[in-house]
Parts: sequence; C-alpha cells; structure tokens
Amino acid sequence: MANTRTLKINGRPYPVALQGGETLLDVLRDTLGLTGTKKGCNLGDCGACTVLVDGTPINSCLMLASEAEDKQISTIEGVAKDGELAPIQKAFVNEGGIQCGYCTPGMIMSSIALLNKNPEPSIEEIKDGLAGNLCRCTGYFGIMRAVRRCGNYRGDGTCAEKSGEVPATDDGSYVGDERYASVGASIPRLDAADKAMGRALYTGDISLPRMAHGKILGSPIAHGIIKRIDTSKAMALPGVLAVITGEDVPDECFGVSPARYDEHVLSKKKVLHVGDRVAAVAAIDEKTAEKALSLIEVEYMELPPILDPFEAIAKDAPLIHERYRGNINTFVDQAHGDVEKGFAESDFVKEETFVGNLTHQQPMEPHASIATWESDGTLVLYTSTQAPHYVQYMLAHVFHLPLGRIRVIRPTVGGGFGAKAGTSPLELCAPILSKITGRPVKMVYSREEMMLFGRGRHKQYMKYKLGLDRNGKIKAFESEIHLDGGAYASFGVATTYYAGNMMPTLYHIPNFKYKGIRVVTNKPACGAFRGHGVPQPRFAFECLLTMMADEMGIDPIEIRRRNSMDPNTRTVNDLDIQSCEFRATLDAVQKKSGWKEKYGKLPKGQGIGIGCGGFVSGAGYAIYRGQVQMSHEKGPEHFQKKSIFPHANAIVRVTEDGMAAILMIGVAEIGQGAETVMAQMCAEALGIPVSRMRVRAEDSDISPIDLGAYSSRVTLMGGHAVSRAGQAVVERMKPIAAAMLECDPSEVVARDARMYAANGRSVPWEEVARKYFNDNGPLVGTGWYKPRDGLGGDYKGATVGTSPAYSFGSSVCEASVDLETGKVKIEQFTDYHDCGVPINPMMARGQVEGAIVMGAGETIMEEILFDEKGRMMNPNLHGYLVMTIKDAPDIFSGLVESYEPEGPYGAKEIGEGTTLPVLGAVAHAIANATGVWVKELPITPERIRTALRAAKS
Amino acid sequence: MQLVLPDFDVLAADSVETACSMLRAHQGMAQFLAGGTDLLVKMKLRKLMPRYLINVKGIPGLDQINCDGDRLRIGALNTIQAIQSSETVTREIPMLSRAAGVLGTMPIRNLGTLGGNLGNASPSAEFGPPLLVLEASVRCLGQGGERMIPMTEFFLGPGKSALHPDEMITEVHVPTPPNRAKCVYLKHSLRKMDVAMVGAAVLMLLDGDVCRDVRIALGAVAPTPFRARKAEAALRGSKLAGDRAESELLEEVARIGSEESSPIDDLRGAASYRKRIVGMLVKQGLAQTIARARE
Repeated sequence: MANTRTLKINGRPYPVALQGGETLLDVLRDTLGLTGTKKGCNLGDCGACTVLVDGTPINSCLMLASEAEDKQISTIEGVAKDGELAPIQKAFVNEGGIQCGYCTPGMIMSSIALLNKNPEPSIEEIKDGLAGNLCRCTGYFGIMRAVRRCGNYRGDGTCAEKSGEVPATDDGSYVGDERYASVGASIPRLDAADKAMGRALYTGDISLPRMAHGKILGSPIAHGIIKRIDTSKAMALPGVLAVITGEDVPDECFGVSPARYDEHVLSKKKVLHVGDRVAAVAAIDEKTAEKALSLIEVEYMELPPILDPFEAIAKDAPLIHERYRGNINTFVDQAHGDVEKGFAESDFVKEETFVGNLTHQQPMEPHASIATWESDGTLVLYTSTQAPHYVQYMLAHVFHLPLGRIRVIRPTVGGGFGAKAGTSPLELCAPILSKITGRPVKMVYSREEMMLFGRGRHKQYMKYKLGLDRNGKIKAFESEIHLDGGAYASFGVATTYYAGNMMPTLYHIPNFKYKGIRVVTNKPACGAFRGHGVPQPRFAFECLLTMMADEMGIDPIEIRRRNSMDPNTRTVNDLDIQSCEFRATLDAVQKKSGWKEKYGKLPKGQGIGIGCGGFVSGAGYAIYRGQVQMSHEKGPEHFQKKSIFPHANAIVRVTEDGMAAILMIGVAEIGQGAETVMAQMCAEALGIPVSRMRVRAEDSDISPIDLGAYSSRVTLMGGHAVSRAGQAVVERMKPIAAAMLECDPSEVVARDARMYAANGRSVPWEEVARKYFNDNGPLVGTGWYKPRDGLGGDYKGATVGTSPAYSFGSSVCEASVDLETGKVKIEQFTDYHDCGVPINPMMARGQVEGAIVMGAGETIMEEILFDEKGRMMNPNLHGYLVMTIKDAPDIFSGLVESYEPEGPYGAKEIGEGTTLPVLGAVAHAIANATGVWVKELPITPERIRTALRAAKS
Repeated sequence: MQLVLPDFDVLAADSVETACSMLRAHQGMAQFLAGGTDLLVKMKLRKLMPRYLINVKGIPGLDQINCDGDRLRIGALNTIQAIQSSETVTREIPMLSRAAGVLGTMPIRNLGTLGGNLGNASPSAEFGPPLLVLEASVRCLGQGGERMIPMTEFFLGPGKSALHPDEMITEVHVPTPPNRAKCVYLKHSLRKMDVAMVGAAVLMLLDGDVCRDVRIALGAVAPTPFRARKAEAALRGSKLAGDRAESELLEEVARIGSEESSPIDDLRGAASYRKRIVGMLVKQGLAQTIARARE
C-alpha cells in the first residue's frame, strides 16, 4: 500500500510513492536518483550517507523516509548554486580534501552543519563535528584544512587567522623543477569538483533501463560439502528472474596468479569459508533478490574448519584443497650470499618472533558491478575495479570470450587499496545472470559481504634473526614467515615472495635467507593490500633493528644511516636500485622532528619512534605471461625475462579545433589521482596547460591497455606512456609549425600553448593543430611503456620485487601512552619521502597523510576476528575500527629532492611506500613510551598492559 | 548479511496513550520507533523483525527539558545531541551533558533519543551510570497508568528493563545533586565514538575532609549498568585527608569496585582487562571528584 508523500529536498518538493519501509537513503538514491548521497555501510557507522534534516546532520540510512516528510532535507546536490561551487566545496577541492570522493558528500554536509552553527570552528570543534564521517584516503588532513580555511573561500577570510590553524603539513622547503609548467604543480584533482558536488558516478550510482539486481548467497559454515541445493522456492518467488548455482557456472577456475587459479565463480562442491559463494539470484529489485536468497535451501555436510595456519600444516590435517599438499599454497626457500658465514662474522645476533594482523582495506565504496550483453555478443561490464584489464582478461578466461568481445567500463571508484585489484565474484556472476535474464544486472556488496569476500592483508607470523657487526652494520638476515592465506590463492603467491624479497631494498644486506610458507585455512582469502605483503615484515624488521640499536647504544636513526641503501646498487637478491635518497629522508626527519632533543629524554608515557620503508614503482613483470590473447587457449608459456607487451599505453587525440587534447589511457583512477597526474605529464609533453586536457580512462573500448592501479605502477609506467604520446603529437606538429614560423622543424618547441622557433617567434598551438588537421586528418599520437628487459635475477621467484625504480621514506612518530590503561594516542607524525620528482606535490602529500592514518590504525586498532567456527566477529565498521578524524595524528609530510632516471620527468611512486615506515614507527614510539615492546599487531591497550605486567614480574 | 529492511508497517502515534494501546494491540509484533539508531540496525541485520513500528516521534511534549525546583525533567524524545547542547543540562548537571557528548557520532546523536538509550537496556547504555549515581527515575505510562521506576530498578538484564510490555518511557526525572557534590562520567573505549568498554560515574559529596556521600555506578561490565554498593560503603563516612591513607583507601575502593564488576570477554576487550579498567576509572573518578570538591 504505497502512499504518495512529498519530500522537501533542497527546497524543492518531490512527490514519492512510499511503501513505508524505505530508508531516506534508499529513497534519495533509488527512487529519486539523487545518488550524491552515498551508501558505505548502511548501518550508521561510516557517515557517507549524511544529509541534513532541518539543518541537522543525520545518517539517512537510519531514518525512514516517511519520517522526513514535512522536514527540510538538504543533500549534496543542493549545495552548489547555479553550477557555482559553495565556499566549502571550493575549500575541499583546493585544499586536498578529496581523493576517492566517496566520503566527500557526507563530509561536506557535516561540515556545512558545523559551519552554519559555528563559522570559525576550532580544530577540536571540527574533529567533534566530523567524527562520524569516515575517510580512508586523506588521513583527514586535507579535510581539516578545508573546513578550517573555508573562510578564505567565503571571501571574508575569517578562519585562517584564528589560533589553532591546521598544523602545516609542509614548510615549503621543497622546490620543484622550474623547467616544467604542469609537472610539479599542486593543482586540484581534475575530478574534484564533480566529487564535491556529488555528481561523480560510482558503479552503484548507475542505473540502466530494465536493470535487474543480483545477490550472492554466502555459506553460513566455514568448511563443508554441498550435498543438495533446492532453488525451487526462490525461483517461484514473484519478481525473481534467475537463480544459479555451481552447476550453472563454467568449470574454468579463476584467480590472480595463472599457476594458482583455484576459485569457481560459484562453489561446485565444497565451501571453504563463511561467506563462500553458493548460489546467486537476479530479481526485479534488491529486496526481492535478498528474499530469494533466504528461500534457497542448502544442505551441507559440515567438515571441521581449519582456522589456525599451524594446525593446517600439521601432519594429519585434512586438506582444504586437494591440490595444495600439506595445505601449503606457496612455498619459498631462498638464500642469497652466505648467511651462516654472515652470522659467524656478526658481533651481535638477535632472534625475535613477530605476529601481524589480518586487516581489511575498507575502501569507502563497497564493490559493485553491472553486466549487460550487447546484441552482437559483446559483454559490457561496469565495475569498481583497480585493474580493468585483468578483469577483462579473467572474463575472457572464464567465459571463453575473445578480449575484443569484452568491454570493461570503470566508473568513478571509491578507493581500493588492493581490495579491488583482483576479479570479484560480482564481476563474474553479473554477466551470467545478465545472459540468463536478458537484462542488465547490477550487483553490489554490502560492507559485510565485502569483508567476507576478503582479500585483506595476510596475517603473518615472522621469525627473524639479524646479525650486526660492532658498528651496527648488517651482516646477515634470516627470516621465516608463515602467511595465513585463507581459502584461496588470490594474490598470495606474489604476497609470499614480496614478504621476503623487498627486505634488501632499504638497507645493504649482504647475506639473506628467506623461507615463506603461505598456508590455506578456512577463512576468506587474503590478497594484496597497500604495500603488498611487505608492511608486516617491514614492521618486524624495523622493530628488530631498533631493539638491537638500543641494546648496542647506537642511535636508531644512526644505525639506519650506516646501513642505508645507495643509488645505483644491485641488491643481494638482484634488484636494481636506481635513484635513492633514503639518507636524505633520515636526515630530514631527524632534524624536523627534533629527534636528538627527544629520543631517550622524554618522560615516561611519552615516546618517539622511527620507522622506514619503501616500495616498487611498478612490478617489473605483468601478472600473466606471454602475450595478450584469449587466455584459455593458451598452453603453458615459458617465462621470458622481458615484457612481451607494453604495460602502459596511451593515445592522444587533439580535437579538430586544436583547443583540447583527449588523453586515452586505461589507468585506473581509484582516488589516488591517476588521471590528474597523467594529464599533468601529458600536458607537459604537449606544451599546453592541463586545463586543455581531457582524460578518457574509464572505458576499454576507448583506451588501450594499462595494467591497472597496483604495485604503485601508474605514475611511472602510465607517465611514460602519456608523455611519449604527447611528444609524438608534438613531433607531428613540428613541420607544420616550422613552415608557419619559417624555421627548421628541429628547432620548434611547444610551450605555454604556443609553438616557438629558436628566434623567439611563435604561433598559437591550436592554430598549428588546426592546420595539421586540415592537411593531414586526425592529429593523434601514441606512446607506450615496457619495463626494460632482463630485470631481476635468475632464481625462482626473482621476478617479484623487480621494478624500474624504488621509493624510500622515513617516518618519526610521537605518541603518548596511558601506562595504567595502555591506551595510545598518536600525537604527531613527521615523514619525508623520496618519490623522485613529485608530479603533483599536494597530491603526493595526500598519499602520505592517508597512508599514515591508515598505517597507524592498522598498528593499534584494526583487525578482523573470527570465532571458533570461522565466523567473522566484526564484519562491520563498528566492530572493525578505522581511525576517525579524532584519532588521526598531526602530520608533517615533506619531500626530499630526488630524480629518478627511469621515471617520467624523474618521478617514482608514493602510494604504497608511504605505508611501510608507519607501522614500525608507531611500534617504536609505543616501546619508547612504555619501555616494553609489543611484538604482535595490533598493539592494543590490552597487549600493552600485558607486556607491562610481564616486564614487571 | 541482509541489509534491506524487512517488511513492516508504520503506525503513527500522536499521544502516549495511543502509542501504548497500539503496542498492546500488536503485542509482541510491534516496537516503538524513536531515533531508530539501534532498532533499524537490528532490523536490517534480522535480529528483530517487528510487524509494526509505532512511530512515537510525533508525540508532542516529550522533547522538553525543564528545571523543576530541585530536579531536571528530561523528555524521553530528546535527542542525545539536544541533551548535550542543552544549556539547562550543562548548567545543572554538566556530567550528563558530557556523557551525551561521548555517545556515538554527531549524526547518531542527532537521531538517537534518551528514551531509546534507556529502553534498549544495553549493558553499555551510556546514560546508565550517570543516571544511576544521580538517582534518577524513569517516568512511564501504560495500561496500568503512570508510574515512576527508580533508575536502580530499571535495568534487569541485557536488553531487559522493568518496563511492562505496554509501557512507554515519557520522561526521566533527575534530582540535581546537592550543591557541593561533584560528579564525573568516565568512559574507556578504543575510539571515542565506540560503545564503552567500561563506563564509570562517580558522585562525591565531601564535608570537610569526610566523605559524606559517594555513589559509584558502572556500565558495560555486568549484565546491566549497576551501582557498586560495596565500593561506596567502603568509602562513605571515611576521612579523606589527602594523605597516604587516603590514596590507599581509594586503591581499596577501586579494587572492591573492580571485584563487584562481572564483565565478559567480547570483541571490545577481555574480561580481565575490563576489570582492571574498572579499578582505574573508579580511582580516577574518585580522585577527580575529590580534587574538585576541595577547590
């Protein structure tokens, strides 16, 4: 019995037919198409759905639409007036308050409510007002700046002068390269305005005509055999369009590493973890789809779940997968140099064991996909992914389709951090359901489903042994790591290698031995998460090095300086370091943090700690071997030490009037700013301002292959492709310009939207472009990038960790600890990073700020927990704790002068490497404050208390 | 795993009497809807599936806050945020306003109500400990008419209160503490917005250097928020001279308080750790209130 009611939204009446049971959020998004208000958790934990009701911010997922009648509802769509951004929106855009943008509408609505009451809020008042809005990208710093400085955009400038200004994240000491116009400019992201207005379309915001909604039925048990599935009742439910089970999906398995494809689209026989997919339905709406799931009858033969990795590898443990003997999915055993000799030569040897935590990326936007088939048999998939090409490749593999028959569209993506790097069951179920129903099918994960799909950070058990000489120089390092992999391989093969291989990139380690064992257990599969495999091993290494430095009486920063990596070095495991300003980052954090005045001199309960780290700037090799082709047809291909096909590819087409350049490159913008830095580098090469660039990165029909946003590869690899494509365009324009300027083509230079001859005469860039079109047709340039041949050594696994370039960074953390309760407050972070030449310093710092808050949260509060039956105990954002704006520290983020010869314009990565120093720095600060080391993550108050008690007795 | 709300009908009540008679008419199948911050979550997670929601937010007069001689009368439909920002509450009983301020997040505080917080009878109900030490009482109305339930008799168990199935909370009466009494509410949680791992309220009345009265209430460490009577008794009437004997006494009181608690192991913390925190918070609460009383 629908009632027509009128909702007053943004000052306009909206008549809606209400059943009565809809939340305001669902009516806004689904009924009225006001999708600017986001759905991040649907349980009132994340704040992405914040709207104002009579001026008061509320979670619209927790209010019935019927209750909002007669009230004034304000949503993000009403904030900008006549297309002009409101001051708070301008502030978010210009101060770096926006990255993936999924939290932005809610964040802005909360800010508006706050500023309406209090135009000049203090930092504390801002934190109070925004504590209900979670952000996973920015570290809240850009957001705080935006709210604080909103006055500057109101034109009355009231905020900036008031005491309690946001602490500077940079002192302006970094000077960019003056030769460049666009490269090195801290311009706002290209998509910032759309995100600030709630106009950016995420996959879940998109509706296609006749669209059906799909849902997946997850297993309630952690381990069992499916005896019987009866779908008849579900099928009989009015509105249900299709129900599929394991019998209806291809036999072809999918996964990430070709040698370990071990997942079926839906389980064929066994379920391996709670939430493992058993069946899927499509129905006319989400509610019907959910109802249908509850009508599917499944009979299981329950098997005892194996949850502990050490139980899983015990002798008589039953096998979870037939193919993984001893439940070991990946086994690595490497030795470089002579470790025994190295330890014999060491003056100090220390052994310690560390334990990590299973954490989840928790991007604010849960996974979503929409599949539809075109009449010529082309599959079109809209999906929230970090790696559109690998999704396309996996669809080809599972469905036996040529790549040319698959079109992947990546709408705006609300964060990934690795969670969306592999192919998800949504991406595979939606096409099947769409084919059966003949309709587009949309599938969206709830927060819980996303967490049960998993792919978070492996929990690692790390046994370390480190040998140093009397000067603190590393002589030998041995590590044995057990990784709890969960039920499937996912990225796990690479994770296992990364966990060891990356250790020798930061310090000179002459002798190195690593054993890695990835174990299968009945929990959601783990995968790649920011810093892929390395943050926990790096945390453990940093802790151990600091412990030894303290014991030997060497300053922890000094011991790092003595062991620091140097430029142009081949590591003991055959990784080639090019540029390296690691020492400069150590010097800078030491000075800036006041380390010498503080270390060892702080009162009890206050601590300061150092942590360092760095990462690859792009994996040296693609995930699959051989050339791009329909993947299921392939026989096993032998590995060759070179890239078979280019990893990044770009096309630039100049519009016929010469006024804009369309850059087509398949990089995945997931919030990190990929499209913006691509535009900056391409504009630099073209000699035009960024404002004339348009980026088409979202559609595989438009843009050539880019391998995606993983392994911190986009800036370096995509950057080469776009700058080369830009240069190719300029080369084509040169003869035309030369004729117009009466000079030799070789002397023509494109700059500032003009083309210059050596004598200083110039013509407008667009006139040259127009002339080119008139005489020659389309003005197009292409560019591509392949990592150079021969990267890495010849031993098994030598490819993982190879990269054209490596980043370096150091972080100093200051924390206070309540010694009675063990409660930690992270007060201040000082970070310097060597990312080569930053293409956009403001965005580079945004990566640092976000990584610090994420990493600090991982260190002290984040962890997924399971009960004895393998059920997740905290599958939501009130049980799984992500730092709020109130928990985030103050951050100083600096960049050191550096130039990477292998990078475009000297650039390398900053996205993942910034996470790596954080965990160790926090752990050290806590140890420094308390006098005890906690060697298990997360370092909770409880664990600190236990350690303090143990130290006492 | 399901997050779409199950089917239900909304019934709008315009008076407490109608609300109660609706509840009676749909006995066992209906729930009051006020803030909805707990109810709708439980419904989305299928922990509750009422056939009817009785929307009580339209009932007039239940969102008042009045100072009525020596007591505050706080209407049950006041939002948490309204209590936090109420000048009257801040002036008369600042502890109450601060307790409101540490409950959840701003958007949640703007929706959730006092009546909902109490009616849920969660062991960690943020208002439990403060209202217990203030010896507040809950006014409710039902078929049997109106009655006042003393706070100390209100909570019966996790999710269970002394409300009859057809009763509705209309008001909370809070006696303003004697002039010289000092009170504090302390909450321990990993993030400020989280549900309390331990909550402790202390009310202290010093008479010179004698503890004339002390009340201690604890939350999230027993099936219900409760008064730590033994700890109180150990302190009441004692001399507090700011000396070593005093600090030893406070230690002892904290220890007794900790022993009175019976927390469970859960996601937020282990029982043993929570017991320790109870002692800590009691000691801190006593020390803070004593210090303020001496100012």
